[in-house]
Amino acid sequence: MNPRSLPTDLKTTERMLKRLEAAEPEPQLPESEDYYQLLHDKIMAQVETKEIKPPPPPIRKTQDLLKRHWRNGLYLVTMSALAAVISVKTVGNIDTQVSQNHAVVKFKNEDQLIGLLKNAPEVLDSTVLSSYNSQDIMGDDLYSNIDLTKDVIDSM
Amino acid sequence: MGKDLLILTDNELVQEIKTGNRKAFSEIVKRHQKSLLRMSLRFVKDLDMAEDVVQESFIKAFEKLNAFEGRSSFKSWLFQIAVNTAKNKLRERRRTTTDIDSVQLAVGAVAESSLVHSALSQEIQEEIDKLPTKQRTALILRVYEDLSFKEIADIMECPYDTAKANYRHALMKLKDSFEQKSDMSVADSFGGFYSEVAQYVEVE
Repeated sequence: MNPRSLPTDLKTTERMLKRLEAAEPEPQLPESEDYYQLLHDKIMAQVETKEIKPPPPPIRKTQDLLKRHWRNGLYLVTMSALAAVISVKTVGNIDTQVSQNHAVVKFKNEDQLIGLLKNAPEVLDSTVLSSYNSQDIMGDDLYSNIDLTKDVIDSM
Repeated sequence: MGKDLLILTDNELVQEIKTGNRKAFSEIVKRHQKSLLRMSLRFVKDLDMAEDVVQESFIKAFEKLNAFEGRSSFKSWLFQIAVNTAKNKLRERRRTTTDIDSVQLAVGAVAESSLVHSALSQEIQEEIDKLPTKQRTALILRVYEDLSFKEIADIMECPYDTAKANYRHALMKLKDSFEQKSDMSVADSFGGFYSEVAQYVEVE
């Protein structure tokens, strides 16, 4: 049985309502053509004084879409995704700050840098200094303990 | 010479209106005012108020025409505006008079064909009135306006399955209520209501 179709007992109720409705007279609608012509004229008279508004901005459309589907979990999913993005972004910022505090800088071209340092070790000194902050204890520590020997660089 | 508006579809008329042809909107009004009035009357049960709903709905539709993207039929979109306008009107009326949930479906005042029919209609009417607004809306649009669930979903601004679920819940509540009445019917002066309904359905 198709889970979407109505069970037999509900079908009976539906059939009953429809049959009663069919036997029911229509709500008392005016039948005169004049009535509808007058209604039409009233509407058009008001329309003449109105202008079509510009289309809604895209953000509004997104909100409408979310509102429409919130019961299906789209709202929940979107909000969760948004929260996740915000969390990742926040953690990312903290991570970057921590990384900077520890002077662990990621270079885009690590191999090139190592090659450069092998040939000119004094460059490391200036590189470390460039991320040194006078209030940074870790930076101080790193700076004081760094050993600029050729062996250290070779081991990189 | 202008286009023959009578042969254009609703969506084509909408495009005409967007280019500034207000006569195209006049054609839209002529096409839908009667069905909109009938539907509004089922909700608000008062001709004057229903007429206000129709007028306001068309004005809103005209002003918001750029928001219509053609994903649903224009008629569904128009009905959606009318249902919301009717609900707002009912809310306004509630503030001044009665409860929104006490609003009944419009039932014609024409004499009923039989006493049984009359009693059944009244009973069913009362049960429908007790339904929550969304379930009642789904029921009215499905049973009385004979709309598809896709159209009902568009009008109610909800997913297809939600529209169907609302309708299903409405039927379940009505069925439970009928059965309850049927159980109580032995001593009840009303008689076996549900069996009476079943008989009526069979006879029909």
